[in-house]
Amino acid sequence: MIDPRWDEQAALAPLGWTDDPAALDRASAQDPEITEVLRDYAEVAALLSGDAPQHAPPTALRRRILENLDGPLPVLTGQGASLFRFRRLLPYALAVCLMGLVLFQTVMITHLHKRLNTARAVAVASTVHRDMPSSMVLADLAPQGDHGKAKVMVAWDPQRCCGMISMDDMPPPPPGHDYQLWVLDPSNKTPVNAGVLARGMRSQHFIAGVVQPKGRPGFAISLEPAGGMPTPTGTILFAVAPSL
Amino acid sequence: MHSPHSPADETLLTQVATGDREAFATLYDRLSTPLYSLALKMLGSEAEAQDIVQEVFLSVWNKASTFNPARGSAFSWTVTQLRNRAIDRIRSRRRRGELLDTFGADLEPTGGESRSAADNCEISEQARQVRDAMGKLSDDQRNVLRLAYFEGLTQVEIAEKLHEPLGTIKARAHRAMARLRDILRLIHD
Repeated sequence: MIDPRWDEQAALAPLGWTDDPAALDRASAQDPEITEVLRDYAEVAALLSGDAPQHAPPTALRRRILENLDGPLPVLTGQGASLFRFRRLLPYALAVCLMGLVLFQTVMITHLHKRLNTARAVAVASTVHRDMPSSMVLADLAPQGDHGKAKVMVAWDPQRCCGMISMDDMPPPPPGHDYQLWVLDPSNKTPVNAGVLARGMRSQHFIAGVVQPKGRPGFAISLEPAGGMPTPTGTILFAVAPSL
Repeated sequence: MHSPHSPADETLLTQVATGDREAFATLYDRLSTPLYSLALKMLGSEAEAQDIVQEVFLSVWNKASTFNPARGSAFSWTVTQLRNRAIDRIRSRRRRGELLDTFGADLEPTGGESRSAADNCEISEQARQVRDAMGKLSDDQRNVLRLAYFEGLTQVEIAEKLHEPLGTIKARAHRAMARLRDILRLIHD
């Protein structure tokens, strides 16, 4: 038998009438008999629900509850499991494909943007020089070593022997140096000086009246002392070979 | 409430804790009628009764792993959850001044798919035993228990309502609970 005081507190606990719930918890923790009495009264209180007139809930409620469960998905085996796993993975696969497509588009847009800039520069030059070529050839200058994202393109008209060179993402030359452009004329043994290139991450340089090659000349960019040199002395950074 | 060969509610709850929907559906079929009946009795509204029954079962689904059989049965765990929610609603109504005046009479559903006990709803053996046990209490004891249990009144509120000293109400409730425990023990033993 437990203390009548605890019996009363245990009886009133399911009704929420306990004087000091914390004290009852402590007493229960120390005395398994009180725990047992608490449990008994909790069961009595639960059974009191049977005093209410019994009504079955609407069948729609069962369906609504079962449809709203958001717990773990049912475990399947065999063919159904494969199909189920495929269906579960489908959204992720679609997301990966979409991300890949977006990445591809971004790269393509960047590439096309650079080509467009070059073409615009050529168009501007064409406006200035009305007799500018109509059969322009575009070529990339290959980097000679690691130059990061720097990109150099050339537009050349073999009939008029003039063109435009465009540079993107070029770091500024080291102090006391300049980038210098050379035209590689197959009929000349030495590169022809085409001038010092303007500084800046992005720049265009018009080339005309430098050489009169028979075919398509090559081009090179080297790092030279400030102001340029009559012949290349520094490192060749970018180059494209002549193509006759 | 169920066949001796079927798993106990506590076993079903353990299975529910692992995400077993079939066990959950079985548990729902066992407990939904007493829980819905209690909710309907306490709230007097089919819509609200359905709401809290849904809340309780979703809570069972999400928190089955927190059930501690040492503190009571699965049935008492769910009934406690339902009563707490119903009492919250009743007290909220009181604050809004919308509380119905009387709860004394058994409330009948207004329509839909619910069925009255007197007509065609199967009254569980357990419910019948509880009604018998309640019938063995004195009117005063039964009244205090019903006011506390179904209307969610506090002991102070009951004392004021019945114009009785607070100590008398507490003692009456204690005696009623103890007598019910003894009666139900006798029935089950």
